[in-house]
Amino acid sequence: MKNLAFDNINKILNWWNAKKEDISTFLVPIISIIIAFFVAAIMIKMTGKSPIAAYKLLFQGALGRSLKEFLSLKQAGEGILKGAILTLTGLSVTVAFKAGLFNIGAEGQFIVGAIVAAYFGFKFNLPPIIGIPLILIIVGVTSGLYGAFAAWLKIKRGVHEVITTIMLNWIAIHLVENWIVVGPFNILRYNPQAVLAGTPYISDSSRLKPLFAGTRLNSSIFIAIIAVIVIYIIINKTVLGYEIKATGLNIDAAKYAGINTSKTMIVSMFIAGALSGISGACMILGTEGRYPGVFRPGYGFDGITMSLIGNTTPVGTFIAAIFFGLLRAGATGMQLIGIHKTFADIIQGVATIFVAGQTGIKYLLFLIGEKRVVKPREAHDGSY
Amino acid sequence: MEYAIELKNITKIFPGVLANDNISLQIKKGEVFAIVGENGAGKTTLMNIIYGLYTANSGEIYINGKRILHNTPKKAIELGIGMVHQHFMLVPIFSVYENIILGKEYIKNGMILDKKKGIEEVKKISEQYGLKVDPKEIVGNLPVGIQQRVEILKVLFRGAEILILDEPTAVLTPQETKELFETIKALKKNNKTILFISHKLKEVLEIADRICVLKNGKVMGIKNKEETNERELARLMVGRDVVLEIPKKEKEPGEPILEVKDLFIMSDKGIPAIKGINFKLRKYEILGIAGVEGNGQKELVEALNGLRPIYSGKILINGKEISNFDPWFFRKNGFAYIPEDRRVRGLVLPFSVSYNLFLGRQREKNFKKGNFLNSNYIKVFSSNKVEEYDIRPRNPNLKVDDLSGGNQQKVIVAREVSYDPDVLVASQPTRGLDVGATEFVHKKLVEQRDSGKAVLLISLELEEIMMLSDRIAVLFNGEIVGELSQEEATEEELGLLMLGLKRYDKKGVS
Repeated sequence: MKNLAFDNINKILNWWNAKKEDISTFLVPIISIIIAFFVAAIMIKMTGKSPIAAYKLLFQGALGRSLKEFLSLKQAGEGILKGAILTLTGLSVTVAFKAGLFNIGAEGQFIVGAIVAAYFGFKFNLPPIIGIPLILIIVGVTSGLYGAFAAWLKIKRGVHEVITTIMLNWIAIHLVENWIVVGPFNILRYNPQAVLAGTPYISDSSRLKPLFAGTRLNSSIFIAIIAVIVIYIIINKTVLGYEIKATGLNIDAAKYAGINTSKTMIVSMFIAGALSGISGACMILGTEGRYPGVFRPGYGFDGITMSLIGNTTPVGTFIAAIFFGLLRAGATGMQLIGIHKTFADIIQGVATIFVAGQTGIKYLLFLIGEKRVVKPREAHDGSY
Repeated sequence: MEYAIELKNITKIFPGVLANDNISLQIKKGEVFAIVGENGAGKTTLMNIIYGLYTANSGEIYINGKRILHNTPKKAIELGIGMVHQHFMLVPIFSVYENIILGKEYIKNGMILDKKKGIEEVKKISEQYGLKVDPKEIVGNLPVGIQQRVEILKVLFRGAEILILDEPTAVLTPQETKELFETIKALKKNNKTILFISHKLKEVLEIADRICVLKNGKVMGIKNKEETNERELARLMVGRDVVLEIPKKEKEPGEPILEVKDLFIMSDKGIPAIKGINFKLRKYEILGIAGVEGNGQKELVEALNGLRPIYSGKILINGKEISNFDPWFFRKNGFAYIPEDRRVRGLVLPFSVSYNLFLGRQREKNFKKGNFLNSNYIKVFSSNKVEEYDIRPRNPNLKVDDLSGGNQQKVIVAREVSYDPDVLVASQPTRGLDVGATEFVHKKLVEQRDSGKAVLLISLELEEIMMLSDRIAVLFNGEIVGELSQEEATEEELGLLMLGLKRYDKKGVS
């Protein structure tokens, strides 16, 4: 009897020991988010408010007050929309990561994509089925080149991509905000009576329309899902993906084996830039309708978080992005009891810290496997 | 009689692996006791049990006749056991004496570090055992051999009576190995007990008093040095007769395939590392490049695979000049390579065996279908290679990182040979491999030569070079100082050339 119990426990532990690497990959982000919620709850408590009430509002704000409301996507639509935008910037960081590059430049590529979309959205007046894909292609190429530029600098001049992408972010932000939007592409040039700052509105045919009434959710989500699938296939099934992974995991071996690692890095940064750019385009064509005078939504930087929490895999990035999209939309609801909506950022930040420090969580998880059940042995004679 | 260490029926089980199977050993005081075995035989596990890093599942440990329960490294150190790890545990920016006294610093006036006392004590201990070091030298600037000496001193400083040396020669040059053996002899004279872990049989036979052979966690035999020989130990270790000499077919070398003309290559520091060398490599031929490490081998190999630019001169393959191109261009023109560092250049460790087997060939016709990987072909290809090269475990989907060193090397050899190259450049192809895997790699190299390939073998192991090469060129200070046929070459002659004490002027450069 006793032996059987030991055998079973040992069997489970053996299974755990064999699989723990794989399983913990999923568990770490989930545990990190749970811890983050606890930490945030303590902070809410410290401000004298009830964490339970706050989280209830958060939950309702994110998904809806009832199952019916949730299914109608009226409430959840906003979060899913945010999630779609985050998915695209997150994927951007993920693709670069696979090639061993840290794309901090998603923000700049996002801005470039946004302004290009605003321009061509304004200029084009084609049937949506042709016009919108065309705009997205132009955006993809422009932002892609902007992203690839950082890789080119790394290869030719040996400048680290973290430095260049950060610098390229500010170049994009200032060129667009302080020159293009106030200068050559200002709304006043086209409509002198306008009282708004920013660029003119895009044509109606270039707009991504809400999918149904009462929500802002538009086809960005489909663009995001297609991107997830395409990137998943590229990374896991194609020759290019194989080269990207080989370069990212061991550039010395890849080079030695004759893989053109320079080309691989440029291509992956091109894809990364294109994804961030399309994310910006979705924002302009979907919700903004033009490039506003001040436009710093920070989705590019948040993409880094989505990618990390999503374990730098396409599907993981998607799940993380939708989750945090909903969380942010829901956080607006917490304002009812006086908690600022940026509270979602605290949860996101704390979760990132724990994912980044995943060695600690893994250590705790692995301890489970270390405590092996050993059958009782003969008594020790206790001589030492 | 009281033993320094006595192990009784030690068994250690890891999930799915019986690492140590009922091991019983008695190690006498003041002897050099060697434990040999292939990679994965359980040597290191056993040492870690003695040192208290692992707890055995069953069995008893006695140190100096006293039973030890609940062993921990701290307890082991108190009992006078010291371990010198294969990878040194030194602070590179600290000086020698700081490293040695680390954790046992001398304090004066309550809180001030007494540097003078520390230096004196280190000097004292280094003189006592005849281990010469300069206490004030920065450890990071020292050669590996001296760093190891610092490790040993560190252990002695903590009062070790029993020293465990885990594969101490793996990182050393032949000269440094010789010095290490002097050290071990000096320690033995001081009545220290030494546990020497290795898989190099020649070394073990030279230094040890008794030799214990482990295989699959079991003791296969304990032999006195005088009563055994290399052949017997190798058989115990591998479980079958090992061919220490590999027969080569009688072949006349064919036309030259690889030609190197007046080649100059710069080192990383921008000074010439290779100074105008010339050689020709022909079909049905293994050309060995011998030399002490750091005489230009690294730069030569890197230039030959396109990773390092050539300063001047020419590399010709089949009469075509291919200086200064990318690695893929060299491969496309008939080169294949076995790198000296399989974990850095040879393999993408997180990739599966299957993925590593076609690294670099992913754009060849068979391996892709349009822009996609041809998973069917890859599956067939990799399971064939795993079978053909006896890569264990026989599962191409395993992460290559989970394989033993020998099997990792087999993956590389399988890949490189499957390129069907004209020239195979093997740079220290057996570094860190055990007897069985070394034999395998040697056989493959000879097989390649016999089938009409040209093989360039660059190695620091003179024995390997002399056994395999048809011709031997000696590299000293970036120049080929002599070229000998296999028959002409003797160890003494090559040794003189390698140390730069003799040179032939442009003789036999054909």
